[in-house]
Amino acid sequence: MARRPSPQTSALLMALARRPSEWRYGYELGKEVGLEAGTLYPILKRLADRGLLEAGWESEPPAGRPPRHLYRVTASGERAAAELMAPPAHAAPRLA
Amino acid sequence: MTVALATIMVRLLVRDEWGQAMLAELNAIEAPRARRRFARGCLRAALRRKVAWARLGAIALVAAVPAFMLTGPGGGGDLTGLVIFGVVVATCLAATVLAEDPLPAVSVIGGLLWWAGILASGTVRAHPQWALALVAACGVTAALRAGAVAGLGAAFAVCLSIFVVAVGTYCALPRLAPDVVPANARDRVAQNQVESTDPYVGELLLAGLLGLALIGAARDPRPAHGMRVNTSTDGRC
Repeated sequence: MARRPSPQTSALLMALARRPSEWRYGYELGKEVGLEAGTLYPILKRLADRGLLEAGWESEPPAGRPPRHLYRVTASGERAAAELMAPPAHAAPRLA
Repeated sequence: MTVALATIMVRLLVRDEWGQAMLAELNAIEAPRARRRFARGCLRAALRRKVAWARLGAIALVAAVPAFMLTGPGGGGDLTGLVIFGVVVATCLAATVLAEDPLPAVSVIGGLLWWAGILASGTVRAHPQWALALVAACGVTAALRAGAVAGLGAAFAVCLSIFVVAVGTYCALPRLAPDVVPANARDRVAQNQVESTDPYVGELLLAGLLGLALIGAARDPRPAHGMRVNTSTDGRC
């Protein structure tokens, strides 16, 4: 049975899908969708585990600062976001 | 203070890519208020992970070792004994912090089984060496299910669990200790308690050795192991 994603998960996925080719930082994403780290990171992890986003490390961080983690929506994440953005249909989009 | 505490806690409790990701992001935030707020969020996110609670449980298990040993009868050993004991406890603590799965379910089951055994059966209490069979069974079960390191981790955690449940039980209920001292001994209950605790020191020493192996096998969670992204040139493939 398809599970309806939480409003926070939907907001995050749609934010990522708006700029699908761009790698995004966690803090910036959290500010954009109004989520604090305590909510943001569990959702990011869950979306990555389900293959809806890919994560990687910054290759050239500025001196004196560790590389940051970056996130980008995958093709299946884009499809799930498109379903979320579409007008209400009979069933909720499936996130896995 | 908040930031430093959250950093230590996240580093200690969540030693994977996601813990590193939160800390790296925290490092990049400059505004003090935003940093504090983000740090509190990181700690909340860490505490929502099962592994964080498993690690806290394992740390509590290690902390119980000196608590029982130093408060129970016969705790004031010689200096060499205390040094060896200190090294073993420190090794167990390091292994608990570094292990990927610090408290596997099979080790919890093993510890509870031994506890039930010594509470319910005088025969089990009289044969502390049987605990080694339980350690081997837990280690082999975990190794068959998830590989050699998992087996090592399970054997380590079950050794610690068995030591804590046995010594803790004899501390709390000294009359349960098997009657092993001569009939004319003074303070038989306390002496039986000490003598019944001694065989379990083997489990503690074994936990120390397994802990050393676990420390050697611990994976480095640093970002060098993840996918690298060049934000300036990377496009979707």
